Amino acid sequence: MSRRVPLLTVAALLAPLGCDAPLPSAQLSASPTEGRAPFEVTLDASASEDPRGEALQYRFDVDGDGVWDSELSAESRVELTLERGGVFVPRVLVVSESGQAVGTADVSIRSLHPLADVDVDTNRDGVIDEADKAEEDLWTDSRGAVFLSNWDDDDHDGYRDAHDGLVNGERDLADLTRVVLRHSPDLAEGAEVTIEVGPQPADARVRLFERKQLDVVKDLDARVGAIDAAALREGDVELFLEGVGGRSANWDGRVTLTMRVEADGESYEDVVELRAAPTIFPDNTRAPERLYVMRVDGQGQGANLAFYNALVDGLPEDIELYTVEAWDYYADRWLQDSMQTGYQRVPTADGVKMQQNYLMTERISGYGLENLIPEELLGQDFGFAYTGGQPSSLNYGGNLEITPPHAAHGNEFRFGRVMVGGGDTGTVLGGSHADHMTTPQKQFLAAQEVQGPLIELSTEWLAVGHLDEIFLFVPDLHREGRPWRVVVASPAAARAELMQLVEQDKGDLPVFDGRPTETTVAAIVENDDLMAYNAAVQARIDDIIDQLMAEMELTEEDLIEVPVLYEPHYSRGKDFSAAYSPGMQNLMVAGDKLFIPDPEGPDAFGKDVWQGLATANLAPTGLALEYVDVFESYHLLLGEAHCGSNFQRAPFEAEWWTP
Amino acid sequence: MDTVNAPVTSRLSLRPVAIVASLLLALPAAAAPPSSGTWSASTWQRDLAAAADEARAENPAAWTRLHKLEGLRPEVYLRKRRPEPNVERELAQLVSRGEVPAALIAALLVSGLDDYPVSSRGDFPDHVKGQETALIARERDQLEDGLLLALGASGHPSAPFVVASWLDDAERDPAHRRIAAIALGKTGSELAVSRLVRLAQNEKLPTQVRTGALQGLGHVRTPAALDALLGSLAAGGATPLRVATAAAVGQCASSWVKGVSDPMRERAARGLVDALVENDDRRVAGAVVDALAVVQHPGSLELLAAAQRAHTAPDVTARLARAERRLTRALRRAR
Repeated sequence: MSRRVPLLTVAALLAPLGCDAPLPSAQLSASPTEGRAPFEVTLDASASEDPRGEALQYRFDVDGDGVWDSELSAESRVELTLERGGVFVPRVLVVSESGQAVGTADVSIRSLHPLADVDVDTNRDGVIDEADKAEEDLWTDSRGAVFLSNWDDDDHDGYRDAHDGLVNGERDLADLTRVVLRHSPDLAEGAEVTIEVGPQPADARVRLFERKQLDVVKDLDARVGAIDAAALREGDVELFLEGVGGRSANWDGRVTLTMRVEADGESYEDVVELRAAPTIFPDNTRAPERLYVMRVDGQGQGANLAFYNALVDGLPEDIELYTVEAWDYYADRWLQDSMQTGYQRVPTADGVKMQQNYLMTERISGYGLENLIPEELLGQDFGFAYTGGQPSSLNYGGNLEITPPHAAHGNEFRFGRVMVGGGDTGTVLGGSHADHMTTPQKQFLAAQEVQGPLIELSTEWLAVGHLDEIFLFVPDLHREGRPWRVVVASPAAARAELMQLVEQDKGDLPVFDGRPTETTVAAIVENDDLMAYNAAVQARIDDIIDQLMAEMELTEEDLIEVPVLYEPHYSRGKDFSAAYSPGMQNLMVAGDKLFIPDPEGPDAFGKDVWQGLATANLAPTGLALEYVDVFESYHLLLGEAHCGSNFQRAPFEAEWWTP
Repeated sequence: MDTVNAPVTSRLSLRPVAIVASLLLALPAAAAPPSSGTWSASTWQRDLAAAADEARAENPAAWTRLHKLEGLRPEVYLRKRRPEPNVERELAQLVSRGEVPAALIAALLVSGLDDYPVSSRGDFPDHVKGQETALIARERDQLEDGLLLALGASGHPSAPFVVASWLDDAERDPAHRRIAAIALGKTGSELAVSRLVRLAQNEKLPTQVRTGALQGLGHVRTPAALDALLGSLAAGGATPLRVATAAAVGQCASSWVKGVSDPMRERAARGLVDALVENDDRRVAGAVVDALAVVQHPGSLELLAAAQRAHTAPDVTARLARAERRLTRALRRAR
């Protein structure tokens, strides 16, 4: 492969010009003088001389295009590769302490056009040109063409565009990746030209279309497609690659395209490697763009209007409120669980092409929201991934969180890391139990790579089994370095507030005043089973947070505790933990504002003590706080604010294809 | 995967004691009302019948309310994030508020649940078509468990007897017997300790029932119960049993429970530190460390330090160091 070095970088190495000493003379010969690209040319400048006998250094330009193809060195003889067809006159730069001289070869070199030459956007600048030829056959983190998974629906037919063997309009064409088979004027009559996709299973994951009629050249049931040799004799043949699949457990997203020419009993090949873009999931510190929430107005469905209206009134104006209608989805209000919002991005000539790409989680059937993405959200530049498999609560979005970008243990996590809940520690009362996110979904997440390696923390002891039942990340507007914190549920903090009230003879204060589960401060603290249970939950949360702290190199300063009590929720003989008081950590991050489940704790001196503690602990973050009524519409249904909402967020500033 | 829709196949049926009890319930109240103290094994059925009669006479709506639990309504529980029936908290509230006397819960359990009006197929919305049988079975399961736990926690004098009869029935599903064991522990009765200790030690019983017995002992919170648990922890046994025992020690001697004496907590802490030295199983060690944090006795750090001085094996010192870190954090928070 030839190396391209801009001429300007050589300038500093040159001896001052314009001095009076006699200059060296540059002499250059080249052989062979004819060949079929790509082929090696030997350039020999050993006949060059310095009149003072000073040592010489050399630099070569094999195709005479003004770009040096080698570094300045003492080597007077090099072998360089001519990649393209044409007639070329190589050059040499000769440098000594006296000065420099440039010489051209005494002969020109005739390079026949390569018979097989395929190019893609290897250097990811959005255009396909000579700069893409180097290292085009091996995809790396820094070099290699990329493509989208064509999972959106640009023609609004209700199906993801990749499902058929068609280019579904101009917008769909823009989602495909260009592949250029270079003009081969020397192609003999009777030559056969093919393009082969490999390795397995890539051949069943991409299609190739030709430019003119957008006919399929290579469909999913074949590895090889035929190319019109006559067209190739006339000029470049442009193809479009469609990503039908994406990175997954069964495929790392890599595709090789081998262009093969069979002519006159000889076979010629050129290979390029591309890779599917990953699906990337924004974390809570990314700017929110859209909020999904269901509006349930009652009539036997469990109204959530207090919550919904609070969002209507209080949501920052730059966030779109997307209302999901209850009647369409059986009042299944758990928006967080139905999906994980994400995106794919690739470089183009115009900048960047972005596609929303949500992960549709495999849900227990009959809920309702399983139809939201395919029937309502799917559209132009809006697609989704779906891994299928056994339904499990631990697959849901509330159990899939993303850490903010950070550095830990010598590694830089520019896009944060994916965290999921699951484990085999068992229940807090010592019951054996194991549960995990199902393998297909976990493997899908791991296959995206840029937010790995995946972290798993114990959640199998919880009634719903989700990370958001324990903690969430929030921005911190006043910190640099790590502008975020972890909000953690704390039974100890909740109990401490209640014990203070008991000491102040305020045990009769109501808790959850006016609610079906109304009780008093004294009733709670004197409930031995409830208190001992919460001590065990606190111990479990401490263990989990210890693991998180070790994984991310957190300190106590990174944690914010909010008061939450838990209770056992027996199912099939086992005790799972559920929030007894509204889980304040299960909040919504709307940019600089948090919507926090109202804990409805005891009101002492005109202030809810639990709310007061949370407000005080969150104050240093600089975030605006609003407490929202979720008690009967979510909390008594084993969820809270985060569970009932979902944000689409802006992408990370960093681009995954630039290391 | 333990999906919420997989049914438990046990079917409840009338037992001899239930037949007798139902006959007694039908008779006019002839016996004197039970005393507020402990009932006896020979008279509890008669006493319960009388108590139930009295409760129904005083609060006719209570029996009806007991047969219309919100947590068994599909239109309520199918909205939940974990869409399954659950009546435990509802029943506890009904009892604590006096809306449903515990005697009626006991009477219902004694009379049998076969005729309890759970949902019928027509009560379910279209979008769960095909799941009705499984959901109805779950309603029955959760009803049984909820009644047992509510009765156990109620303090009613019939509770130990009614719950024990459930526990002793070898034909019941182990999951229900496990709940019965926990409920028996919640009664806090002397009968509970001896019965649960025997169950925990009975190697012929399913592990589920034995762990339930250990969990039940954790609710008793007496020196006798603690001694039994510490003895079980020291004796070893299968991992699930040791894990359950460690957790139960924590529940028994938790620093968050007012009535637990300091000597009890210290004794628990000593037993747990010994167990931490002896047990290299990851799950057991984790449960012991958690339990130490639950007991949270201030002298635990010194016990751990002494153990670290006495033992040099790297795996032992690593476990002790982990416990020290966790306990330091818990004690700092407590201050």
